[in-house]
Amino acid sequence: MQLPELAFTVLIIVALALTCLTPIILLVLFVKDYFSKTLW
Amino acid sequence: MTEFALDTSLGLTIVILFGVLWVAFGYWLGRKNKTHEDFALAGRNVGFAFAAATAMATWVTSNTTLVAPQLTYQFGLWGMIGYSFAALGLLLFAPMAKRIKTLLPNGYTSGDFVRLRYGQAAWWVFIIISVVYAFGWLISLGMAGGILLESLSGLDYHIGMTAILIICVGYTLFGGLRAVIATDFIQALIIIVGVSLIAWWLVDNVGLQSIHSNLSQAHPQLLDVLFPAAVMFLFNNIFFGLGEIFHSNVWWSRALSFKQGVAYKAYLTGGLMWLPIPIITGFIALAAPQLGIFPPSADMIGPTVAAAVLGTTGAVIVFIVIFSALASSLDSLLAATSDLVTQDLFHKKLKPNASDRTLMRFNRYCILALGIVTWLFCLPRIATLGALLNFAGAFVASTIWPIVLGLYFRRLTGGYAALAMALGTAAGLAAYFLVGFYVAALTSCAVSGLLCGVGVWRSQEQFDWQRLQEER
Repeated sequence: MQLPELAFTVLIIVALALTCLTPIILLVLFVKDYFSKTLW
Repeated sequence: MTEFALDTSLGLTIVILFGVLWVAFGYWLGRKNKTHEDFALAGRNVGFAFAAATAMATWVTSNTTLVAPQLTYQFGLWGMIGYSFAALGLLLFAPMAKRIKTLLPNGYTSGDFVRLRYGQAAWWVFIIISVVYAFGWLISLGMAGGILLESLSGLDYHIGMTAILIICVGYTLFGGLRAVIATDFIQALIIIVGVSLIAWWLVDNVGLQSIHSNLSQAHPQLLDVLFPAAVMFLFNNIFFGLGEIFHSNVWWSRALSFKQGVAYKAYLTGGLMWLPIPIITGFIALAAPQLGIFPPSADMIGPTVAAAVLGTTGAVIVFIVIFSALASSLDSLLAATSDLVTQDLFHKKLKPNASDRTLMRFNRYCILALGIVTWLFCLPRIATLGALLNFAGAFVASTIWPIVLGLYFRRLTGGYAALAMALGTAAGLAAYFLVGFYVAALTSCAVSGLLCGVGVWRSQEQFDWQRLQEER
């Protein structure tokens, strides 16, 4: 049984969106830790 | 322009630039290391941002960037989905990390826990498994470095492999865990941005519909949701990932180095951030048939596609992304394995009265020695990356139950834990050679689980958790 095109598209787009979100989350966390002096 | 995507001198220039940058950064961070605890555990004070990034970046290895596309190319959809299930390891380790920090406030390594919880016999079995796994992973990473540089720039395998080892040993030696974690943060950003750029280009220029339609006509098995060997691989990979994370000092030393209250949310966030990455790197490989790309070695499918579609720019991006992925894991493994040797073998077995300064010096010698031994093993190019790593699956999956039960239940004794790890590994290895790599971890975990179950059922012991709170 083959994966339908719609499911394939949703899978890749959702994965790509989540991946693109990651650097933003990391930078926000970094700035937050930096200003609250809790990096280390 | 040569037949390679990158000019050899450009490849070498990138390596040298990154090398100088990372080693200088490691040296700068290392100035804060005054005690062995600073060096080995970053002062036990790592904040949430660095903690989440290091959990994610360390799990993005050569496997995610080279093997996930390779498995997608071989097993289709299940290759990438199966690979992404390895995120379960990070997600399930989150509550365990919290418990580790509570049970072992002064702990240094996973070996500390096994020795105190189960005694000497189990500790020896555990150390053998840890060392086999650490070298399997280190060699796989060193080889990946050489393969990457050779495939993309034509630089001799031995020179590339030597370069990446020297760089990682260099900054880990100077900066300890602090340098490893700080570089992981930057490497995590580079990896994600690079991978997203390549995938986005493929979606925009080749198109998802076009890739799907080409696969359904020319390679329908790659879209098959009931590919038997691939479904088996999915389960095998889950247990392999759990075994790798649950037992390895790479993850334990991080849990112990995080600030109070950070470990749980850092591993959870790291796992969620890692989850989609193998799907994206796998997707890059799925575009290969349509682009008419059939690389000579399956583990180079991802980089070859990226280099082919984006030309020199793509090759530079891939080069830097994979270099960062390799470095973020290599440095972690060097630091964690050297901690294990320093703390568990040198300090606890050979020199119980060693001063803090001696331990720090010995830890550095260990990093150097590990680098040299890895280099020697990497000299012959012995196996494909996937095969080499899956061999280690037979070992690590046997530790899942002894670690989980040891952390949460009082009844499992050291004898059964040792037996479960030893016989689980033996059964996993038998399955690896008799059936295939995709059942090694599964078999190892099942046999180990069975023996642990018998152990818990037969035991009357009630372990006292206070025995884990050892003074240094």
